[in-house]
Amino acid sequence: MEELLQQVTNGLAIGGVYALVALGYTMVYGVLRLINFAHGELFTLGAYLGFTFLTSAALGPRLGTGWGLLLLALLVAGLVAVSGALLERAAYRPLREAPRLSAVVSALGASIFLQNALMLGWGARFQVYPDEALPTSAVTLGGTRVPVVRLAVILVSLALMAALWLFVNRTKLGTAIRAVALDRDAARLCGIDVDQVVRAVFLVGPALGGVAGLMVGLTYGQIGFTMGWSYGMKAFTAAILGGIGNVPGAMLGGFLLGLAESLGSAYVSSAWKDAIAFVVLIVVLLVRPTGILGERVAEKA
Amino acid sequence: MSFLSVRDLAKRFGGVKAVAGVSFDVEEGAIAGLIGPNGAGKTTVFNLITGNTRPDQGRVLFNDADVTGLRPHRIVARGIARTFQSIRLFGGMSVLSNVLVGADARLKSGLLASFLGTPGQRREERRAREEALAALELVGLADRAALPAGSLAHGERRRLEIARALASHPRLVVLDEPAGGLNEAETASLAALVRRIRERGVTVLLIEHDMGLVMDVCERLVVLENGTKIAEGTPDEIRSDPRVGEAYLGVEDPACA
Repeated sequence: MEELLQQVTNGLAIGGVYALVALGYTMVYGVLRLINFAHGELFTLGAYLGFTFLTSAALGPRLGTGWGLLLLALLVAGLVAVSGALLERAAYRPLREAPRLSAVVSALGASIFLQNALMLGWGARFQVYPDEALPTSAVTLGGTRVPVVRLAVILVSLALMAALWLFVNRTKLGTAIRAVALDRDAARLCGIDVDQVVRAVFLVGPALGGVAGLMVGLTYGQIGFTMGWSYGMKAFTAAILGGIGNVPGAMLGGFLLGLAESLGSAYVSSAWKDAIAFVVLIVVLLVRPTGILGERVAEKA
Repeated sequence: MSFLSVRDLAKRFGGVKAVAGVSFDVEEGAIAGLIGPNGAGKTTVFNLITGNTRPDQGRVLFNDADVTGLRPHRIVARGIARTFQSIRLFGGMSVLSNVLVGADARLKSGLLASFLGTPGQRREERRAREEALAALELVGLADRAALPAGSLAHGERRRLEIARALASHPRLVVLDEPAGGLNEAETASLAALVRRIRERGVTVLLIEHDMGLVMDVCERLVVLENGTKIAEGTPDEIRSDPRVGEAYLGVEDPACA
């Protein structure tokens, strides 16, 4: 029972991270029908920016505790969001009307470019978050001690998802995003500025991904310039699992994948941890090719 | 100068001349119709007016400004809204949200205000919601606001498209075959709706196959055939124009038209 609770909270925490990153993939896919392969690197950028702020002599002591962490998260989210918008402008906007494959190649190129830029900027070796920035306290929950940071990750990811849900469903920009995802041409002719919608998606998705990167840094301490690849792959899997292009689907897919991984490695075999994610994906796609909450094929009049 | 003035528009697709030098004017407050046999270029003219397609040649002047080749959302912001021949609603979204999409071009607040949810932006969204409900009221769909648009019957979808177009507060609304697939009773209530729209000061331009509707509501008609204008005038003038009968039926007796 104790073991189970540990694994479940662990799975939810890592699942929350997957879900936040998956939202970036799925929102971009929704409006552009493009997989932004460079999204994983934006996640890494979030982790590294957090590292830089926390290790800077001037800012580190202020940002490392309590409300400081909130400020740090906002700072990281803002900077990664701007990077996302620049990425869109440089790598995707010029190819908007080009064949789909050109944009895919551009996405792969952007991913490699960013990964190398991260390596040049912060070095090829692993970096470690400063000890004092890593919360070590734990609370007792149902008889087990669960690290506070793990609960914080779960709560923060849930809060961000709730905020995103409200944004997408309750604001005019969110309505515009949904409309573009459903039928870009009709949305354009109804007066929606598609460029602005794309810009918004490339601000929101990377902001969430950047915060996810920061949370991974704060939880595990160690970060590396290639981490975006493995987390990005898992998050992408989560997005497909839930139904690519579908916002609640990415959230659900992320948590399911996190739980499957953590329970699978505990009760099946930890050596197969990474394979489990893909076994789950294959099984779900065999039963439901569009993903769990995947959109039905659009009705045509 | 006219309210809407189409000047010598031309567009070819590959080797096909879809529209070859069409000019006509629409006066403010009018209900005007664009008619012609299938493939005459009516929808292409609509697409050129609404910015969906760029013309090879010619100009579209609206409300004393040249709007030729502007991007669609800019044209909507200038006051021209449209509906589609093949209905294009956002099926997964609610009826009300569909109308709110139409209001998007009119809302001023930018990206930052939307993210932050500033008071001004919230006020604007509340007002947009109220106006969207009013537009649904006008087309008779107020009681359907919360339903998914995909669940509406065909005639209701046509009216929802009109409500969505009206939500942008257009000065000109362009309806592409609004009576397509409607039965007689629905067509009659559509005619009444078109008149109500005009009473609110919105100019209406429509493409239509249903001659009954066109002759009933339109005050002026423009007839296209093979991408060129072959006649223009009041419904009575058009009815008695021999070229129109020919274009439609390939016969010379206009009484058959």
